[in-house]
Amino acid sequence: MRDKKSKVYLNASSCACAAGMTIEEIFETLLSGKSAIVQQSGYIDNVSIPLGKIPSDDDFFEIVHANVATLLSKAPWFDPDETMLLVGSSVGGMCRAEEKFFADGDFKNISVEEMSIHSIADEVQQKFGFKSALSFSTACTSSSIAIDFAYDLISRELYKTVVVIGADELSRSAVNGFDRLGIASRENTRPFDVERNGINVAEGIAVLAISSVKTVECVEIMGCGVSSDAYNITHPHPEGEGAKAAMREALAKAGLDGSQIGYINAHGTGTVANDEIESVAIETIFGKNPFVVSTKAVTGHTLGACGALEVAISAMSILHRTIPPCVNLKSPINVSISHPLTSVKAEVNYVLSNAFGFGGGNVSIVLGRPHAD
Amino acid sequence: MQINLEIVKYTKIEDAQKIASLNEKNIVPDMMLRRRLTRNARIALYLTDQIGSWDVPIVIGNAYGEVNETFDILRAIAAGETVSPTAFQNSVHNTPASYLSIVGKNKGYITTISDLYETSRAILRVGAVKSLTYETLLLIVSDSIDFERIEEVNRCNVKIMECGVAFLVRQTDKDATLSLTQKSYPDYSPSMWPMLELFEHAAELGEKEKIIAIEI
Repeated sequence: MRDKKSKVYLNASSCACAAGMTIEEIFETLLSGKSAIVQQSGYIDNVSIPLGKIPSDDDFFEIVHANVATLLSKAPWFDPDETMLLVGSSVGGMCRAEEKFFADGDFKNISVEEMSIHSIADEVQQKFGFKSALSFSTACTSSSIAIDFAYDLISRELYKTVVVIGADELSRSAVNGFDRLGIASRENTRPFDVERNGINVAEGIAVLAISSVKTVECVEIMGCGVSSDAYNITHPHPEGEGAKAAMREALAKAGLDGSQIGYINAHGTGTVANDEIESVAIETIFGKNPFVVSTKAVTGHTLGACGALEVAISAMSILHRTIPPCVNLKSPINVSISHPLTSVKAEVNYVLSNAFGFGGGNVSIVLGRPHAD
Repeated sequence: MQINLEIVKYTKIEDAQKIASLNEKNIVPDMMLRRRLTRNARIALYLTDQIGSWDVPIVIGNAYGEVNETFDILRAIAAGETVSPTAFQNSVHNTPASYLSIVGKNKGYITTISDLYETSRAILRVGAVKSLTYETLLLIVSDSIDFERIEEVNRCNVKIMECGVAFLVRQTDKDATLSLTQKSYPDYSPSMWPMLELFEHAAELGEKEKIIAIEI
């Protein structure tokens, strides 16, 4: 039972974030080099702050449902009755709780079911009839850790099809919280720049179809690495030991060495601490070979959704043989790694995507172009 | 598909209101770190200390998150006050997991599940799948819902405000010796029920092998 059997493929994705309402639109925005971050008021009293907001007036949960419907139309062989649903979210239904608490001043009209982390999985399962559902909540690695679990379910042939949702809505709690921690930038975020000064909090939805079936337009999920820093609640390990461990484990499981990775979709939050340690960790393992990009300069930091969203973006890079540019980067903090300033056409065969989170959780995922049969 | 888990060790703690002593001073000698611990983190650290396995992969879960910290943030925003940075950093669901990693110097796989009323069952399912990768795992469920507005949301009439259960498990090919009957424990949050029942059965079996089949 312990032996792995099946290869694991990402067959399709459906996403929404500030940069677009489809994964195709998001990828186009990324290639254009234009940030989708816009100044927003109403989240912090009397302050306007740049945030990544989905360009739609629809209810967030309705947008999640629409993306699940789109995904199932892209992967029609996914039978919800036989499919496991995995959700990664750090906020869940928190915005509903905020809305009612701020209106009423109490919790009397709030149902626990509506505000819980599991509310996304529960409502999607009810609407689409998935066989089973689980919700992971590990801060900014929430949807990455769900992908790692999907990898186990498929590779061990416990399930043939898994849908992973990464979803987090912009909440006043998160925006105020990051602001008070001093890591919410008042300007558009500048990942890996010497002048970087924080994140742009954002919302995002990424729905992924993962299976053991190799399809015409798919990428292989080759390996995942998961580690813990064992260091500090909000600060990453100063030498990036946890980040290195996750990246090395993902490479080992994929059967690759660092020189084979063509593109790294970095966690790259734009904070002083994250970008410093992540660039050192990348330099140590990969040297100058891979292109290193943080797409958060365009999408913002979508918190628990970022792992799934950036895996979908990474898959687009493989399928379209194009790496998006580093937006807002003028003076790199580390000249020993390669940051493309314009989009690059490249035969990218292997990509590594990083997600690191509060509490020192680290997840790295290696994607690859499937070999021709 | 079923995966069988052998229960190697198990422990439980609870209180109707607030568990009086969780041995924090011994488990977390660093006073600054100890002062920042959330209630769920204190319970998780206590249970891990009782099991005695700090450096194993962990699947931990809670249904409601860190209710005191979450309420503190909402109250501050509603009042036009600034949000406490400590409350914010401690408000995420994986706060207990993070403190387990920091205190136990655990650099391995740790994940947090939150499936509301199905949280216990979800922890068992994730633990079972991960037992195919890791030799032994620590499974922990806890909930601490003792906060000042609890009466406004406690529609299940839960009477035990703090509870935690932990199991050290490993995958086995041996036949199951116990099973869950979906027993209800009305005084406890439904999120705890399957792991409470498993604890009860494990205790009944005494020195005998305790093996449960988990449906994935």
